[in-house]
Amino acid sequence: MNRLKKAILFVLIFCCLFISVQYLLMSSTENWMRLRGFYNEPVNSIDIVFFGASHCHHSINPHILWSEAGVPSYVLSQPGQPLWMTYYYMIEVLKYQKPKIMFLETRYAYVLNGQNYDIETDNESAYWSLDAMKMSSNKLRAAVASLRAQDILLSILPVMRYHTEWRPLVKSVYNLLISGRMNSVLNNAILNKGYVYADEIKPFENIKIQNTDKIGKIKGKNLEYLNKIINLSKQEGFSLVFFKAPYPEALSDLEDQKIDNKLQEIAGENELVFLNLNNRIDDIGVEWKTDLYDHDHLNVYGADKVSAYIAKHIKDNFSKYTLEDRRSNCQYQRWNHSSENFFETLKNNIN
Amino acid sequence: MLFNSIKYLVFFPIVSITYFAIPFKYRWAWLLLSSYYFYMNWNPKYAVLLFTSTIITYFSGILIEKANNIQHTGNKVRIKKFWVSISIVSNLGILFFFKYFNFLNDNMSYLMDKLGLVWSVPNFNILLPVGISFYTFQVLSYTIDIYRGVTKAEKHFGRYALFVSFFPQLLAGPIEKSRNLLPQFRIEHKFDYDRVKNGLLLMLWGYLKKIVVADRLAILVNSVYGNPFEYEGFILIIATLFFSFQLYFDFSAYSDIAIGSAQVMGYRLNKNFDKPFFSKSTVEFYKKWHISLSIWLNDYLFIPLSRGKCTKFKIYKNIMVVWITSGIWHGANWNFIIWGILNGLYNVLGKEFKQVRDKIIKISKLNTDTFKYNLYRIVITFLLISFSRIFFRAHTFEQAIYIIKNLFVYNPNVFFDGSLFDLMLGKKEFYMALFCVFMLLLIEYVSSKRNLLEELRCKSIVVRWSVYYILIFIIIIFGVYGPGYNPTQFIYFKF
Repeated sequence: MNRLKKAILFVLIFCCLFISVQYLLMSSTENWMRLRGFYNEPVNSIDIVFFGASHCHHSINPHILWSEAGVPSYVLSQPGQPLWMTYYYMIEVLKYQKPKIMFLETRYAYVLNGQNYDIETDNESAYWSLDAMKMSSNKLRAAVASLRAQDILLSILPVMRYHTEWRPLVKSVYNLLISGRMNSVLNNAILNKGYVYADEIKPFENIKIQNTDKIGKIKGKNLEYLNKIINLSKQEGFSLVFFKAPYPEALSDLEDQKIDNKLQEIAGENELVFLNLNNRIDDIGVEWKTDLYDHDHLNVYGADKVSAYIAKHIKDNFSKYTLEDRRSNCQYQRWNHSSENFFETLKNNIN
Repeated sequence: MLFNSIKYLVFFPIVSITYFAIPFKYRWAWLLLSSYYFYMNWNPKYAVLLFTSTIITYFSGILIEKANNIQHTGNKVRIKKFWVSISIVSNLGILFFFKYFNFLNDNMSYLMDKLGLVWSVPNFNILLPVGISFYTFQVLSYTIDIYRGVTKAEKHFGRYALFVSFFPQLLAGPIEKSRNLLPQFRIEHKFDYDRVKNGLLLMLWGYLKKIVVADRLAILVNSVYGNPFEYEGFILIIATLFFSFQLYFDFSAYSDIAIGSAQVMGYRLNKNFDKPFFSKSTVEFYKKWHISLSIWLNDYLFIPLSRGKCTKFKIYKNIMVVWITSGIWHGANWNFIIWGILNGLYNVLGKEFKQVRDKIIKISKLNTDTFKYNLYRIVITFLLISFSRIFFRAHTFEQAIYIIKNLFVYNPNVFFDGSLFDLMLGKKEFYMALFCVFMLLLIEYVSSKRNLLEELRCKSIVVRWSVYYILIFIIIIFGVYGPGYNPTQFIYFKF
């Protein structure tokens, strides 16, 4: 072997080792595994994908959708995920799946509306979303849209951020070498289909309900990417559904409601469905005393009700969305097993 | 540009690959351009100072050499002295202005105030040009060597400018003598696989010392020395000992990366460290520590001062002058001067009491050729050196005095109540730091007995590559870098 070939081989082995180390370092994080779990799904097997921020993955349980409507779905949201990241996530999804519906949880049309860049929170949420994304031009575009130029390298080489926590790496290597399996986080992510359950109960009382008909303004980057998402749905031929997960503040925050009204207007203009679940609290049956795990997010009991409501909406509109109940489809038997496992695990965990 | 920055990891491969790809006659220009780019990355304006020093010493070198042709001995000596003085005064003038003006001004102001006089010269708001002490000493050695007739003046301005600005050693040495480095720019260095590999390995070793060890130790040291008044006893002792190791691994890492970078391109820079922590006296320690500065101070200060009849007093005085100069060279601060005095005293007292010590050993029939005795001497040397470095690290004289006063407060509870691990370096990281120091010292000790690099070269490719990958991944996984950490400057950049 001549020296040039040796040098090339050395670099190639280094790259393989580097990617493996980086993978193992990140493999203990739930956010990373949520997208990895999605990549793990068989190609063209998912009918619905849910996008948004933490409200999305705390509200939607794909196993309820499966057990109630027989529709395979996945939740692809990360904490604090802005609309621009959702847009690139949608493009990522379309590489592997042909979903009939993409649900967009709209809270972040309000949260980051016209706000200045905040290096602490914005970078962190961008990294959470980007880390698990496979390397591609889409990932680079998502990084450019989300981060300052000097921080992009940190999203391409996440090892620079994860290496300080080297204990999970040791654990992952141990699991791989000794027991020949990845750690339980991946198993959980695959099992949960992106849903994050929390069984704590934090009662919320004395909500000062207010309403407004005024229409707010969606600005800047939020508007740009909302339009991009709508255009993407038209180009790719999937149904786009706006929905807003229930949280108490939405009932009293007038500025938030103004954005909802604007979204209703946009939905109307583009013939889209907007399910503002905060206007249907009674129909869904959400109880603020029992269904929250903090002041803002639903717990497992709330998520069950919301998921059941969404499942009913889907079931009622099977023909509109060209969906079908796949529970008896032999190719989807793993979903039946997976759901059984999930509910069994959930029962054990809650008990 | 910092060696431990992503920029350098891009810069260096581009520079070295292009260097080998272009014809020999253009290489000096490429390296010169790269070196100025490297320097200007920090502050473009101060490249003017570097260039000024280059021009002054280039022409004074030529003029000193030209004066050698003058027949009349008296005139010759006078003219030579004139030009060497121009070189020394102007270079030291620039150094003084940028490094010492404010220090002197503050002290004058303090003194005048004590005398009841008014001193109203304002301080300059200037940034210390990085590496100025290093390249100033290097160019001075060049003109003094020509004056002494031990080296020839370089006629090629580009090559001379490269000698002054050669990027691997520009910011923190090793301070090279012209007769070592300049001739190397005239020779074509071909791509030599083994040399390049060894150079890269040395750089890798340097990165490991800096990023994994020195920067990890720095977390605790910075935490304690950032506000020493909050601590006492063992915490101050541990921070001081940690600093001793930090300084070594930091500076020797810089030197390794510098020497390795130069070696990749075919240039041989002088060794700057030679396992100083195994020294049995402070004199031996400083022969092995920052060797290029020790040689410079010896050749251009101690030897000229020691001409003629040398009494004991004169030698001691010269030792103190050299050490105080060394202190001032390190920084415009009374702490550095005290550090110099302290080390000078170690040297002088060591010499003064040598006879007494030898006599005691003889009378007590102590066997000095034992591991225990040698270890005792190594430990004592390390403690003396570490003690002097309190002045080196403390920000102010008051801090240093506080630390010394509170160093021996007996507070063993810090080992049990968790406060030792509450210094920004958690328990896990603290033990990791200790383990790293132990391992590196062990490797240094073993390498003083055996040629580890040569032994590695003889191993199979699997073993060799495994060692390389282990070193690389130790840096990647256990290194102190990433968000929250700025690539830390090498300590000696500020001198």
